[in-house]
Formats: sequence, C-alpha cells, structure tokens
Amino acid sequence: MAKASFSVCVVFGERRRQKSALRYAGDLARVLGADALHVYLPGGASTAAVPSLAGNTARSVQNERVARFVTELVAMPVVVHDDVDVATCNADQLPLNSIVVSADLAMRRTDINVLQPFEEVMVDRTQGGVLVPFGDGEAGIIAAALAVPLAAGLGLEVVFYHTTWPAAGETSTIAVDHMCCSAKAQFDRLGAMARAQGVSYRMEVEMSDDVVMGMLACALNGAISPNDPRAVSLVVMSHGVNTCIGSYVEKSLNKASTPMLAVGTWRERGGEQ
Amino acid sequence: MITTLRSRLQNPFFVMTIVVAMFVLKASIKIWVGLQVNSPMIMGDGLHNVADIVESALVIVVLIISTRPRSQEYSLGRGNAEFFATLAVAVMLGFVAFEFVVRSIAGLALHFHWLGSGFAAAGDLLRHVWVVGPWLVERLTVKDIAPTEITGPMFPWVFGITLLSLVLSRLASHAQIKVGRNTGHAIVEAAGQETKSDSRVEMVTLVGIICEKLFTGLPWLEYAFALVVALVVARTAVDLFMESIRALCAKSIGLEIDEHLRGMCLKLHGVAEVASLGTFRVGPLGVVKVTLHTMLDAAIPALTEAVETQLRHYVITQGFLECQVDVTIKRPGADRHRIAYAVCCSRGEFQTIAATLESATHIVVVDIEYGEIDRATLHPLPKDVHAFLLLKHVRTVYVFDVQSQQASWDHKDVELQGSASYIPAAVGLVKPSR
Repeated sequence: MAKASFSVCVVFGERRRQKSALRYAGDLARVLGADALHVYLPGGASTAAVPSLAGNTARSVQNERVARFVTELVAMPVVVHDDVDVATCNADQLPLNSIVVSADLAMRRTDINVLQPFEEVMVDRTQGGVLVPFGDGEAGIIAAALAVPLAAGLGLEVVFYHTTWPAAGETSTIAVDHMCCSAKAQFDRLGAMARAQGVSYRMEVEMSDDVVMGMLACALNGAISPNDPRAVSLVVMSHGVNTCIGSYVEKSLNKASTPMLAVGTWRERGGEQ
Repeated sequence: MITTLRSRLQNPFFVMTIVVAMFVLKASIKIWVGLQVNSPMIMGDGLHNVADIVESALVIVVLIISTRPRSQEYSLGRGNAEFFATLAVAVMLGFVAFEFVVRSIAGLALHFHWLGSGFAAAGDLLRHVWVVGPWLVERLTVKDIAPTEITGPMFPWVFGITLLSLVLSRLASHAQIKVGRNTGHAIVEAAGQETKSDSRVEMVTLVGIICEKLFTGLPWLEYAFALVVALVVARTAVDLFMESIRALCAKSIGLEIDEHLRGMCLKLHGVAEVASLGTFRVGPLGVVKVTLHTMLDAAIPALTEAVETQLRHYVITQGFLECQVDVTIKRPGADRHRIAYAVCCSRGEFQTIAATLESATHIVVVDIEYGEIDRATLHPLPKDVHAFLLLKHVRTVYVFDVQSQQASWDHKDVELQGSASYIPAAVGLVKPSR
C-alpha cells in the first residue's frame, strides 16, 4: 500500500507558541518524509503595507529572512508563501492533503485540517499511537480517513477510543458490552480502514462520565499498557457535521495538552467554509 | 480449613501471635531441657527466646500503633513507628552478632595457639582503651563456650528439640517475612529476619551437638561454622539498621526510581520541566512530591490526574503497598521584560514594522511575559527615542531594516534587533489597542 503524502503547513510567528508550532511542524514534515515545510506569512503579506527599503524590495528580504529563521529552527528546507492568509483563505488554496500546524487556528477554522501542538515540539516524543475517538456518527470515520494514513506515515498504531454510558438493563462491568450497535458498526468500519492501510489498531472502550476528560486521560495515560504508560502522540478528531452546540473538539482543545489534529469538514459541508 | 489458615497467614497480627506462642513453647522446653542436661548453652538459648517473646509482643504493640488510621495530626499515618522498632531490632541483632563473633573467635583461639597469642597481644593493647578496651578483653578471654553434657542419655532429646526448634524458627521466619512484605509492615519483616537469624544460631547449635558426638577430634569445627553464621547475622543487622535510618531520615526510596519517575513526568505532553521531585517512605507508604512546570493552565486538571495515576502505579510496582503522590503544577518563571517595535500606523491601526526608527510613526512598547505579549502600548514617535526607551525600561528595540539603523544606533543600554518579518501579526501585534 503506497503511503499517502501530506503537506505540512505552518503560519509564521516569532512568539513562543508560534515558535513551538514551527518546530513541531518541522518535525512532523521530517517524520512524514516531506520535501519541505510550507511556511505562510500571517495576514497574506502580499496585501499588507510594505516598509520603504533601499535597494531590494522589502517583500523579498522578508521572505528570505523568514526562510532563514525557520530553517535554522527546524533544520529542513522551507517554502515561504506570502500570497495566502491561512486564517481566512479557501480550503482549496492550500496544498492537497495539507495539515496546518497552528497554535490558535483549530478553533477558528473547522473546514481545514488544523493541528494544534500546544507546547509540544516533537511528534514522537512518547512513541505512543494516534488516538481517534469515535461515537455512533460519522465524525470518527471522517477523522480516521486522515488519521489512519497519517499513522501509517508516522509508523504508529491507531487507538480507536470510545466512551459509552451504561446501557439500560445491562449489568456487565465490561464497557464493550454497553456499546450500542451503531457504535460497534462504526468500529468495524474503522477497523476495515486500518486494515486496508496495513496499520495496526486497537479499540479502547470505557464508561467515562465526562467524555472529554475520559478521552484526554486515555491520551495522557496511554492505552498501550498499564505497565508501560505511554501517552499517545496525537489525537485526531473531526468536527461533528451535525453538532451545533457543544463541540467535543472545542472542549478538548480547551483542556488538552496532547497535540490534537482537528480534521476539517470542508468536503462534508459541501465545500462551504 | 487450609484456605482459612492461608488467609489468616496474610494477617500480620495473627502471624505475630503464632510467633509469640512458638517462642513461649520453645523457651519453656529449652529451659527445662537445659536444666535436665545441665547445659548453659541450651539454657542460654531458652533465655534468649524469652527475650524474643518480649520483642514479639512489642512488635504487636508497634503494629497496633502503625496501623491506626490517618488523622489531621498524622496526615501520612504512623507507619514510621515501625522503623523505630526496626532500628531497635537491628541494634539487638547487631549485639547478638557481635556476641556470637566474639564467642566464636574466643572458641577458635582455644584451639589455635597463634590466634590465642595474637589475641593476647591485642588484648594487652586493648586494655588501655578507655572503658571499651577492658570489656572487650574480658569477652575475648573466655576460657570455654557453654560447657555441654549433652552426649549422654539425653542426646536424642536434645537433638530432637534443637531440630524441632530450628524447623519452627524457619517456618515462623518464612511466614513473618512473607506477610511483612505482602502487607508492607517493615517491622514484621524485620522480626522475621531476626527469627531467621535465630534459626541460624540454632543450626550452629545443632552442628555443634553433632560435631561433639561424631568428630571428637575436631572440636573447633563448630566455632568456624558459628563465625560464618555470625557474620551473616551481622549483615542482616546492618541491612535492617540502614533501612530504618533511611526511612527515618526520609531518604529517597531510590535514586533510580526517582529518575524513572522524573522521566515519566517529562514524557507527558504539556510538562515543560520537572522543577523538583522527591520521594520518601512512611511505613508501607511511598510518598512522591513533585512540582512540574507547564504553560497550559487549562490542562492542569488532566495532567494532575495523569501524573498521580502513573506515578502511583509505578511506585506500587516497586514493592510499596500504597503510594501518595502530591503534585503541584504551575507555570515556570515568567521572564517579564519589555521590548519595543518601531511601527508605522495609520488611523490607529498597525500597518507595518518600520524599516528604521526614522521612518516610524509610532513606538509600541510591549510587555513580554512567558514569551508572549502580555500588554502593548502605542506611543507617537518621541523626539529622543533612546531616552524614551530607557524611561520605559525597554531591553530591545526592533526595526525591519536593522542594517541601515545600526549606523545611527550606538547605544549599549538598549539593544537594536531586526525583525524577521515586517508584518505586525508575525510578531504578535495582532489587534491595535485603538
């Protein structure tokens, strides 16, 4: 199975969180075997006011400086884009299969794939897997469509996480016994997706009162083995297409410390931003 | 029946009660047999068992104290009471070992003249050493060890009772050590170690009896064997002593464990640094105190839970019955300082980072905290920029075209730097204040 290629994009910035995002993006691009890291200047530099500069144009000087700044930080080739504002652009203005690493865009852009690394600067520091929460809807499938090939590219296993409330009349203490049929069907589909990509996977099911805290605890404590707690490397979630109030993605982004990739639902929403 | 017995053998109080009963039985029989055969050795052993009865009773008292529930005054429980008692056991055991070594060497000196003359010379020197010297000489000049009259008609009784005593001691020590380890009661384990040492002494006694019966030409054999056993007992005493001291002085539960715990914390996403990590034990309880640094305030509840869960689990796998993890998570040092940007503004909005100070319309004074902009104030370009920056305690001023600016900036007290980008948002100046 040929590995999918991803374009790792990041918005340039000189502050602490932006620098963390740059370093994480550089590491992600390196681990995924990308040719270069795509660096975008904030605000779409081409439309911004330009300071008067003797000799060279300020724009080319800036792009050269930014490229040097980022290359020194991430130690890999960099392509600087000053013609697209990632915060406001159309999804199709970004490269195919793009993952935008950003400290603050995940809440604002639900149409593109945004990875919020928080303070993390290394992709595989924990050597943990990729956690994909799923319920009985399509969100898990949308997330897995990106997470599974990404896990294949990173050489990590996928942990499909599900939390369920106790089923009425069911006395079993095993969480799987409380799963509803549609959630089980989703897991079957997710398993098939992982098998098709040759990615090893497992299912982690629990009965947690607080869905978000349960998922975050699983991400931090690592579902790999209780004797070898290893935090997962990445959580991949999709914005629920039908969710109008109380997005799990937003709640998770507000409380998490594990890098989190919010999968954009641009296509699912019919191309609307 | 067997299942009930097995479950009761998991109860330290039950085991210690059995041990007390065993010592009562052993002491009674040994004293009686010692009187019958006129053997000070067996009598002495019986009296030693009387001391063991008292000691075991004390162990039970200490257990009662140490297992009392935690209270406000004793927030970590009274588990360390066990280590005071263990310390006492270690000292007693050390004394027994010393006594035994001295007696063994004295016994050997009776049979090897070179050793005897060596001791005599050493004794002459020792006599001059304050109080301890004469006392040691007194011990080393023992003429004989426990004269025995046990090879007569009472031999089978003496042999059988010593053998039975040995077996009982081994069984009791095994039960004590096992229940002590399983329940985390160091004092019960220490008492088990002492009972084990007793069994070694009894083993030597048994060898002595056999040697006396079989190898009448090699009477020194039992002393040589006794010396080896004495050294083993001494080592046990030292181990118990050190363990007690370590616990009472709140020594780390192990530097390797500490290092592992530190590594576990650093593997958690969001943990920037382990500011401090310390461990110690209180009875069967392992205590971990850790202070971590994170920049993610909102993640602190999830991080706290994860740190507690993971560290507790690991410490318990290291042989502790319980573990208490005290986690403090806070931000690292804020490194507060001020920088400034020369900017061009139009109608109150940032347009660009100015190429030079001369081309700027305003100066933005920025308070940096934790590497991020905490506050920014916009000021029209002052006539004397340097004086203004000094007044505002600015550490560094940024322009875009630093090469051009350097020629006219020779101030050492405010650093001049070039901004990589001229876009205000790239340096964090996202929304103008007015």
